[in-house]
Amino acid sequence: MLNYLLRRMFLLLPVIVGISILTFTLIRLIPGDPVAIMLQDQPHTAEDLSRIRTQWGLDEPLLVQYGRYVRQLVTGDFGRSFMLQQPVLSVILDQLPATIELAVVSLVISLLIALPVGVVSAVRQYSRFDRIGTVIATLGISMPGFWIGLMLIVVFSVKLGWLPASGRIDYVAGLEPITGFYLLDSLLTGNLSALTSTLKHLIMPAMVLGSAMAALTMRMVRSSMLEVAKQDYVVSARAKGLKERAVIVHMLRNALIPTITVLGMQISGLLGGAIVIETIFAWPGTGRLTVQAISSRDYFLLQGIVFFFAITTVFFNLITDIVYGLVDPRIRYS
Amino acid sequence: MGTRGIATDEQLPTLADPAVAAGRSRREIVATARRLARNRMAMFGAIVYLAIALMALLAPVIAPHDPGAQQLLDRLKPPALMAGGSTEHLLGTDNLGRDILSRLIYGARVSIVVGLVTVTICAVFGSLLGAIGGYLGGRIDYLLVLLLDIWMAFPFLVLAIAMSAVLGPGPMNLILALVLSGWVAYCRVVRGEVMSLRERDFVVAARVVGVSDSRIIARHLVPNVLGPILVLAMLEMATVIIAEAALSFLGLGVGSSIPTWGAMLNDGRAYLRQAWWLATFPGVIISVLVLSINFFGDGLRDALDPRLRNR
Repeated sequence: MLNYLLRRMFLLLPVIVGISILTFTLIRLIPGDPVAIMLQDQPHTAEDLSRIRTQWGLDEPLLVQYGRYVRQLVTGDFGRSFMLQQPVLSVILDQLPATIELAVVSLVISLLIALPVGVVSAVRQYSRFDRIGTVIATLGISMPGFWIGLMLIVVFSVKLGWLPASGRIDYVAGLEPITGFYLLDSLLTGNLSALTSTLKHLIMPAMVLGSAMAALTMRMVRSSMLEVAKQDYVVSARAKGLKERAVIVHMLRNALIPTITVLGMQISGLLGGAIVIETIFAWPGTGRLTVQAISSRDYFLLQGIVFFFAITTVFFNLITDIVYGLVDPRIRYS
Repeated sequence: MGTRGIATDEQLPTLADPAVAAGRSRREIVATARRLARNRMAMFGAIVYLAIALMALLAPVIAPHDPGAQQLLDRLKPPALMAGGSTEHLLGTDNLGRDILSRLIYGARVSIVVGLVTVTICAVFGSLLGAIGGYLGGRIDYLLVLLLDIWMAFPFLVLAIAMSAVLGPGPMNLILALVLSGWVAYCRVVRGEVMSLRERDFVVAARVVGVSDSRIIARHLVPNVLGPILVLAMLEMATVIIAEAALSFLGLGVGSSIPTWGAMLNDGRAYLRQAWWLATFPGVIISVLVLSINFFGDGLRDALDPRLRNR
């Protein structure tokens, strides 16, 4: 197992080098002078431009620039944010708990919907429940999440006034952040009003992100349950008179294996979706940070975020592979 | 080119005989089309898609108003069926007094064209790369797989957003950003398919008699992977249309002078309290278009491979 892990890490090296080349190239694709574009809204002189260019090393040959970029990345230096005048990595890490909290709750919501619906749809294949479930799932992947988000705001914030349309928590809740995960923090400090406030802020964005994931996961659970249903061990379990409920539990354990891969793949969709959804709900996470970096033309921050997202995706793919092997004893790491 | 004088694939009997193959594939196409035509959901999807495409094509004829014409006295008028609405503006007007229905009709142009063009370029470019890598194997394939691994580390929407932010607004830049982010899916699928086809008898036979690699790829491999490519293209078209709307919503799309559904949603966002209809109708039409593509895509998949039906 350790051997396998080390080998996988080693194979990831060229991928990570490739990711660094791509993110490095990204801001060099800007048509024109990036410094002039970044400064276009601020009064500046030609000397300012050349001074900043030298300061950021943008007047050196590309290879030298790339060499420095890699050296910085290795030491955890993602550059400096132009907009916030802070190290990019610390800006990202500041906003990360908000995104992780949103992502985890969305994932939980998606599983709470997808597992039961997927299982029942497969067990009662072609029933009315199955048909309606499939149509709703297709609807779910067809409606843009950011539009559903806006409609939820119209109904639950504007018309009914039940839920807040933006932010993570009400200031009056008086939460003392410890971990940065507000659900956890409010439980740790026993602050009930902070917990309610956090949940109220979380529910809409998490529902939007979660339901989009649920549609795909549900389809996967359903089809792998149907696949498993044909297996000999299911037939024999039924033949020896096992209760249907027990048979389904048997089936589900094996049907979940391909589902794990889908969940792993959805991490990447979640990061993309978070950019738009966090913007709509003014959720102070890395997704909204991306849009802020773009609108203030903070290209170094954008580059850092994109690199960070790519590394996160690679990391989660690795985790998915490992978990896949842990739950499926047929897969051996050799 | 094939080795001249010995044999070319035209002279091979049965297996690679173009006439036989053409006859068989024509029968298959007809059978697939029949299965597709019997699928009501798929046909419904096709009709809705064509209707929206026609609406985009005929926009100057059917749109009741100029989509850019501002009537500041008629700002934020509600739809005709609501109190205060009028038949002059069936779906109401936006914050600048522009007719929402007309903007929706014109907005279809961007979604339809960007969807079609992006998917076509991605499919051709990605499939070709995938076919070359899968067929040739060896070092070229290793490099291709590395490239795929690198590209797939970037979430599609993140890459598309970053690319458009860097390239700037405009239809060409938008399509470029979507193509650069979206080609990987085809490349992966086609590479996998080609790798399994490479060892099949008809390809081996063609190789043995000296048919050139490029000809084998074009004549024997590509026709056999068309099905999966088409199904993938349908799925991807849905993704691309939503991505385009998301980019326009973030102000990164084709530019502010052209009406798009995503930009209309963004306009409506500031008026959720006073005028909910601004953000409602563009979302409905995006959903209808994407749903129609998904229905058709599902039907196409079932028709191409009946064993996959309802899976």
